[in-house]
Amino acid sequence: MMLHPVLGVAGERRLLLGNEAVARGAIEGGVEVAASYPGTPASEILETLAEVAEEVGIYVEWSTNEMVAWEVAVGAAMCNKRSMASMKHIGVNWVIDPLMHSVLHGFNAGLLLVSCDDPSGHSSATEQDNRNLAYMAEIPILEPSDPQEAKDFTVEAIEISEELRVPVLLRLVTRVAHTRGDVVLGELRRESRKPEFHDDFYTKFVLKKGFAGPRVIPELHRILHEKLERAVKLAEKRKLNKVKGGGGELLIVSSGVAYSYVKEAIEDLGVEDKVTVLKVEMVHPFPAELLRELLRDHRRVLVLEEGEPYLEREVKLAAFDGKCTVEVHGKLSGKIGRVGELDPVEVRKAIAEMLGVEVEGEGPSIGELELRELTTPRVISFCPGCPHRAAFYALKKAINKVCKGKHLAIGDIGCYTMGMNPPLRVQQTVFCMGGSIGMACGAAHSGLDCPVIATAGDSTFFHACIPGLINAVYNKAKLLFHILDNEATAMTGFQPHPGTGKTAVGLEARKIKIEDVARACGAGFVEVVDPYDLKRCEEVFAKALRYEGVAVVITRRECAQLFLRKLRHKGLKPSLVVVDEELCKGCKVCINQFGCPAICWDQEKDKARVDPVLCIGCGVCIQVCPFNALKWGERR
Amino acid sequence: MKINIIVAGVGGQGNVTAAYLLGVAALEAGFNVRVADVYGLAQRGGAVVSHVRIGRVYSPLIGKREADVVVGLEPMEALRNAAKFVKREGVVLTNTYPIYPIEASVGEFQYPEIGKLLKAMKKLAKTVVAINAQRLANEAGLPIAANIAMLGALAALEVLPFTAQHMRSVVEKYIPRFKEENLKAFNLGFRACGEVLSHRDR
Ligand SMILES: Cc1ncc(C[n+]2csc(CCOP(=O)(O)OP(=O)(O)O)c2C)c(N)n1
Ligand code: SF4
Repeated sequence: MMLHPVLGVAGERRLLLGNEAVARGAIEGGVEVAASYPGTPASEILETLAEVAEEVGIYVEWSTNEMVAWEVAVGAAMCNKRSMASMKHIGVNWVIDPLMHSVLHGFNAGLLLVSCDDPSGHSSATEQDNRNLAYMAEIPILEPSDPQEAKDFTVEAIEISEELRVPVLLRLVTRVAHTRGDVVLGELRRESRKPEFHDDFYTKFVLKKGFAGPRVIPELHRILHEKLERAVKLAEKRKLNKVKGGGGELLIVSSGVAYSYVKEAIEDLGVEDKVTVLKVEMVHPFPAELLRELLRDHRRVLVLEEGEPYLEREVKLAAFDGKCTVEVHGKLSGKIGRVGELDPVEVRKAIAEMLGVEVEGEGPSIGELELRELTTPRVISFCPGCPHRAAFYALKKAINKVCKGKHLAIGDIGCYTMGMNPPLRVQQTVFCMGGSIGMACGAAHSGLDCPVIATAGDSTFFHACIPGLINAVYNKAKLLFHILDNEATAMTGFQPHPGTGKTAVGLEARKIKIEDVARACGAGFVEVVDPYDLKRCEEVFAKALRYEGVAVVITRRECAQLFLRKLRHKGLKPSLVVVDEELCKGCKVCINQFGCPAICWDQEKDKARVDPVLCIGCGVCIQVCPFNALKWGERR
Repeated sequence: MKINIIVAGVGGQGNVTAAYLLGVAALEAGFNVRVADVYGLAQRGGAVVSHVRIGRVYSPLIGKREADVVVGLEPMEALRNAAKFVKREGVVLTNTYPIYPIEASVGEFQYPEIGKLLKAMKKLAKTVVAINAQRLANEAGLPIAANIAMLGALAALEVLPFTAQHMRSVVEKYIPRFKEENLKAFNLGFRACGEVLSHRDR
C-alpha cells in the first residue's frame, strides 16, 4: 500500500487537489473534529479526512445537513477541540442561523468554516459569493489562490480563529477546490487536547449579566467589532496581504484564483515593471490602510476577483474615506463581466487594455455552423438500470390513468432531478434541498384542481424534508410525497447517510428507515415499493394519488452505479437484455418513453438494439415493451 | 517553459485518471503543475475536460486557443475541444473510437463519419494524429485502458518535457490493478502514434 497522498512527510512535494490540500491543512493545523454534508465541489475535503481519520486519530462525520455539521464543529470547539465544517456554497445558507449566534461566543479552540463557491454553477443552481455572507456574519475571511495556499491558509485560519476567539471562513472556488497542484507539505500535528467546556459567553455574561437583552447583546456585538480590529493587525503580523512588483500608475487589487490569472497574465505580457499588485489574502476585514498607502502613488485601480464585486466595493469605500481621487475598474465599472466565472484570457485582455498593450488574436477557427453539424452537446440522463427512471416511468403511468396526466410535481435536488428531462418529464419545477415538500403544501392549499406531488431523494429526506412532512400532516394538506430511495447520496458521489447504516469512516450504524420516520410524522398512507416492479409501483401510485391526505410512497432500490461496483468487486458480470428482432415492431416506446441509454436505434434494421457494454441487466425494459421484443440474453 | 494540454472525453473513459497521471509525471520530473478537471455528472455520460498545465504556470485554466496539445479520448470531444483550445501550431491527438450521445442513439443526430471529424480538426491544428485506442486497449486485454493507450501515444509525440520512459514508469507506479495490461496498452499506443508520425514524415 502506498502512503495516502495527504499523509506525506514535511517538506515533500505532492500533487494534491485543492480540497485534499485543505484536508492536509486541517491535519497540520491540529483539527480534531471535522463535519460536513456532501456537495460538489466540497465533498473531497471530508472524504479525504475520512480516509485517514483512524490513522491520524481525528473524529470525522457526514452530518445530516450543513447546519448540523456546523453545530457539531461549534460544539467541539466549545470543548477545546480545534474543529471545522466544510460544505458547498449553498450549504452555508443553512448555517447562517447558528453562525450568526456562534460569532458572539468565544472558545479556546480554533473554529473553521470552509465554503466552496461555484461561480458559473458547474454543479450548482446558484452563483452566490459567500464572502458576502461572512461579511454579514462579521467574521474574518481568507481566500487562497491555489492548492498550496489552500493548505497553508487552512492552518492560518485555524490559528487566527483561535487567537481571536471568532470563527473564520476559508473561501474556495471550484477552480481552487477542484484543481490539482504541486503542494509542499508542512509539519503534521498530532497532539490531542483535553476536552473541557469553555464559552466566553457563559463565563462573562450568563454568570454575570444574564444571557440576552439590551444589557448583553450590544456588548457582545461590540466585542466582535474589537476582534475584527485585531484581525487587521493580525493579518499584518502574519504577513497576509502582499504587495508585488512596483512601478507605473496602475494598481491591481486581486484575491483568490483571480490572482493566479493576474500573475500569469503579467508575466505573459511582460509588464512586471508597469503595475503594482495588491494580493488580498484576508479579504475581510479589508486592509484599507494598506490600500490607501498604495493609492498615494497610483491613480488607476483594476480589481480582479472571482464572484461578486466584493473587493471592488471595499476599494471604493477605502478610497472615499481616504479622500483619494482614483479611477476604479472591475465588475461594477463594466470592464469585467458581472456573471459567470472569470476566464484567464478576459483577465489578460483587461490588464493589457488598462496598460495600452497589444495582445495577439486567436488563431483561425472553423465555422460555428460546421461545428454544430459535426458535434452535439451530450445531455445527461439517468444511468442504465437507474431505479429512478423506473420509478418515474411508473409514476407517470399512474398520473395518466388517475388524472389524465394533469398534475403538479415539485422536484428536489439529486440524481432524480433528471426526471424533469425528456422523455419522462415528470417534475415541472425544482428549487433547493428540502424545498419540494414545503412548497407542495402551499400548492395543495392553493386550490389547484389536480394532484400535487413532491419528490425527494433519501439523502434529501434526512437533510431537509422532515419539518415539511410534519407540516403537511399537521396542516391537512392533500398531496403525494414520493421519496426515491437509492440507498446513497448518489449525485455527489455515493456518500453514506443515516438510511444506509454506514458512517463516514465505514462503521456500522443503526439504519434509520424513512418509512418509520414518515409514519411517526403522522402520514396516513405509507408504502415501500421496488421500482423495478413497474406494475406494483403503478398500482401503489394510483392509490396514493387518490388518497385524501398525505400519502408517502418510497421507491427503494440501490443506485445502479453502486450495484455495478459491488458486482465488479465480486468479479461478476451483470445480466443482459437483448432484442428479439422478429418481435420488435419499431414502436420506439423503449427509447422515446422509457429512455434507457443502453437501448439505441439501429437505423439500418429499423429495430431497437441493446448495447451490451451499457446494459446492466435490470430487466425493467422487458416490462416496458408492448410486444415482448425485449428478453433476457446471454453474456458471452 | 510552459506546456498546455487538454484531455477531453466522456464520463467513464478515464479522462481524470489520464490527466492525473500526466500531472504526477510532470511533478515527479520536477515541474510545477496545474490540473483542473471540468465535469458535471461524469458517470452519467456527460463530457469531461481536463486542463493540464506544466512549467511556469499559475492559472488552473488554459485560455481559448492556447493549448499545445488536445488529447481526445473520443473523436467528437476531440473536435469540440480542438475548436475551442488548440493553437494553430498545436497538435490534436485523437482516439477514433466514438461514443454515441443519446441523440444519436435515439436517431435525432447523425454521428458524423470519422473522416469528416478529422478533416475539421486539420483546419484547426497543424498536426492531427488519429489512432484507434479502443482497439489497442482491447488488444492489450483491458478494454477500459484506452486512456492509457492514449497516454502512450502522447508520450510518442515528443511534446512532453520528460521521456516516454518516465511517463511509462508513472503509469506503472500509480495504477494499482492490471499493471501488465495497462503497460501493454501504453506501449501499443506509443508504437501506433510513432507509426503515424513516421508515415507523415516520409
Ligand atoms: C444545501 C445543499 N447541500 C448540498 C447539495 C448538494 N447535493 C446536490 S444533489 C445531492 C444529493 C442528494 O442525494 P439524494 O437525495 O439521496 O438523491 P440521489 O442523488 O441519490 O438521487 C446533494 C447532496 C445541495 N444541492 N444543496
Ligand atoms: S448514479 Fe445512481 S441514482 Fe444517479 S442516475 Fe446513476 S443509477 Fe441513477
